Amino acid sequence: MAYYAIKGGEEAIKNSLNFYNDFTKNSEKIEDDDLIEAFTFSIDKVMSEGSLYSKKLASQAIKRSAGDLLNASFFLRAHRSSCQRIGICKELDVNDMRLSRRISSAFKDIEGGQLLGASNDYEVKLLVDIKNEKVDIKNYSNKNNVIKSALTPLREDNLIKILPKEDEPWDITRVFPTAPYPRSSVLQVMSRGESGTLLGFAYTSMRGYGDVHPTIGDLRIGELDIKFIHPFTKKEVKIGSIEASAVESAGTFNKDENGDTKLTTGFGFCFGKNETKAISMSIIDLTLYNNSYTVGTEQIVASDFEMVMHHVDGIESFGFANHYKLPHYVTFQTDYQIFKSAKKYVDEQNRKDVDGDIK
Amino acid sequence: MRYAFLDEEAKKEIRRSILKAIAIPGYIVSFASREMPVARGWGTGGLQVTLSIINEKDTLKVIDQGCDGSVNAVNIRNFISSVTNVKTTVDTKKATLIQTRHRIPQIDLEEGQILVYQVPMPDILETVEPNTAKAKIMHANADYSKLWVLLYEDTSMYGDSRISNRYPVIVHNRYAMDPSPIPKYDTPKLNNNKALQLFGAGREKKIYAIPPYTKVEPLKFEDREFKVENFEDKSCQRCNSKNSFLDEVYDDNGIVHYYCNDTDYCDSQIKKADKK
Amino acid sequence: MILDIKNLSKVFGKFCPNCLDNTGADFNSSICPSCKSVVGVNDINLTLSEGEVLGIVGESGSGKSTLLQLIYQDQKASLGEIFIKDFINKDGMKKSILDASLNELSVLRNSLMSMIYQNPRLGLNYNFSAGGNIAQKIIGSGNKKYDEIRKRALYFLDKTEIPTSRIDDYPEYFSGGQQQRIQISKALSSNPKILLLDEPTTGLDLSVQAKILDLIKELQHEIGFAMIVVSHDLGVIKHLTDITVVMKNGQIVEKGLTDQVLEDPQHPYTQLLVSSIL
Repeated sequence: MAYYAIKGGEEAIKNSLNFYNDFTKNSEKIEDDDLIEAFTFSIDKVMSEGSLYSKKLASQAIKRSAGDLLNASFFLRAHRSSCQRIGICKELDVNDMRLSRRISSAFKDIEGGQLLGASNDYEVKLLVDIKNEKVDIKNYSNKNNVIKSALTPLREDNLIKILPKEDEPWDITRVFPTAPYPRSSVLQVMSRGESGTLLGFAYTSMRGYGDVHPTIGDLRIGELDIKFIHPFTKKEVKIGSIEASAVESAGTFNKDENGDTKLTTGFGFCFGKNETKAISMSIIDLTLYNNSYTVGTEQIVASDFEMVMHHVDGIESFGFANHYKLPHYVTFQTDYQIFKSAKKYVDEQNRKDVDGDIK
Repeated sequence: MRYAFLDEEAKKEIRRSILKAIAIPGYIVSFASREMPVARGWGTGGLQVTLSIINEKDTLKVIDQGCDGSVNAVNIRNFISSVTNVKTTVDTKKATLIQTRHRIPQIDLEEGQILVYQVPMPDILETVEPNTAKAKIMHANADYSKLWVLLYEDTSMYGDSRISNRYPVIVHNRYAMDPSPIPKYDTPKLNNNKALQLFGAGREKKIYAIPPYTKVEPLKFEDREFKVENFEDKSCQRCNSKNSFLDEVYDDNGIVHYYCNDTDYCDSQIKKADKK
Repeated sequence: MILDIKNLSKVFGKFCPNCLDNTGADFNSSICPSCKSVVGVNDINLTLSEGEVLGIVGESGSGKSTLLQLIYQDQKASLGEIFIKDFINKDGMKKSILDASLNELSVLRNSLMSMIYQNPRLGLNYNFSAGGNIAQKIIGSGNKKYDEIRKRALYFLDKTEIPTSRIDDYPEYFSGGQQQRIQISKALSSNPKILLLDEPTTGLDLSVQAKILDLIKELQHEIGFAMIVVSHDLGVIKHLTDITVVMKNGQIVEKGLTDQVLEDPQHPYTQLLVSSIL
């Protein structure tokens, strides 16, 4: 971003960046491994919004941003642009996840039990010194928990509304679609979306600007293997694994295109551990595809595709919000001129009477 | 930490709001809801109501989805007990103050008991009119036509209301009220209850109440039955009760089992059988 | 007498003491020379008997639609009183409906009166099905029995020649003429004593217009409600009404039996109107 028209601009910019370094220089002492371990949720948020799975790069971006996580996501997106796409991995099925946490609010008990895993859900948020009780975890299991979604029995009984599947998933980073938006593009936008924005939109739906009444059917956190066809050997290889969050919410019921009554569901998915984002995404998915007449569609943000597709990306909104700091004195000058002439016109009219003569 | 966590001014304001709510059954009263150490949506409204009325003579019971042992109930009970040292119990008959999420205890309550409900959304009109300003005018006009038309549309399309829990009720022939997400099975228990029923919504910052012996009826057509959840041929596998609200539970082999949702009721049934 | 309007005025703007006296038909203007306010309705006095059909005719801007809106209370009157038969206060004295409390207003608009708007978007809720719209009116008038509500909705849809199988369809899937007829069904389903119609057929094609006018006339004869029809179309007025009132710049310039007013107009403005019929 060049700074036009100001003399001595370059000097000023250099000095500004130098001052900014005061913020970031202290974080350079922190080792990436320590940051990754200590601030795991920050790392996960940055990877998800940066749309690039690399804990090390996320760590560096956070350090360079002195903790501003949206700015760090920006770094990751920019880095992503510099990477060449080697290929596309095999489709991931969240039912294959090696689970570290899996709950369902819809059922009291489920196959494998309610795996609480590591969670702060039950933490009492008091900033007082709580004696750290060392809990001796005697009987923990090392086995791989791979369990299908808790809504699978309902799906197998043909009770769940299945949306038509696309032949090829869309990639918004190559072509941004126009309406009607393919569902893969909608989910992609949300998965890369800014966590707070998604939460806000989902909250409007939860509070009644949407008729969904969601229940979490399956919330899971765990590891997924990334498989890839090797370009030379043409054999399938595992190139690594990612940690991800996935949520399947059940909504209300309605009639599908064949007139059958089906239960509606929504899906949320993102890199790393971000339950709030995955829950929000699944609720927005529900609200978008199950617009209801009861509340009306006029003022509903979460059921408006235009609202979601164009407003949830953090890097875009962050960039545009901050762009207002760029010089705008030319445009403002034009605004001011128009204002002055309009005011002059109205004042003149007020001085005239009904017949057009000056009073 | 002071008794019951909240300072006295906070408690006074909440008590005044509760009194106003009791004076106008079913009417939603605003109150200065504080952030509590548990997250909003986890029962902060019920918690604030309980903390402002609890005293040393009370015996506290806390349930979530009918169960004393559920994590949310345990968390809240531990917190309240840690800031009051109050006696706690799982026995519904022995409790003076019961805080609940999503269910009314199976056995009938007595005079002198207080039931505090945790409420996520306090205004039943939110389901048909999310704009709070418009909803307030509707309540003032007793204009519940949108709820009635919703009932009409559901009845013509699906034979009955699509509302599964949180069924709208009319209190004292005047206000349409949100009973919190209790099953329709529990809705009739709101009517003419001997206990005082208080409702707290922390995130939405509202309190409302049903004084004892108040008329509360579900919003339904006069010529239609109020259908509640059906457990006809099923009984609890633990205590054999055929009269209680049952939980459907799948084990690891995919086989379904039925148990009383109200765990204290189940225990008391077993005790009764043992005595015989 | 079912409706009694006394000294009704509506001023848009400041409302100074000169407004009513310095505007009107004689001044050929609705704009107050002193304060520039627009006097929409200027000191109207009017009565309506049970079962009577009154027409209000005038050009755009004459205040005829505003007058209806003041009666139905879509707009708030600046001055005056309106009395409806049987609308009394606690002491048994007749009470102006303009002083009605919010609860009383609901009763007035749900049970005693109904309004049919030129644009069905104003009279229908597009988030409810056709049946749902009618149900809303019936429930508002006090009926809480599903079977009766459904039967009544079907009855009126049938009467207004809407295929009853479409009772659960949403208004946007009907034609303009059909939407208007659903509006009529809705308005009549609460058994109102007074029906207000604001340009009910303007904008519809001629064959549909004729059908709707015949329908309204037939229902009025059958049920016997009093009606006020506002239109700038003299043909509509002639077809439907017993008494006609001519408005200009917010005032009534002529009043009489419809046939007389249209065949032998006295006021120069009425003569101008009548002679302008193509």
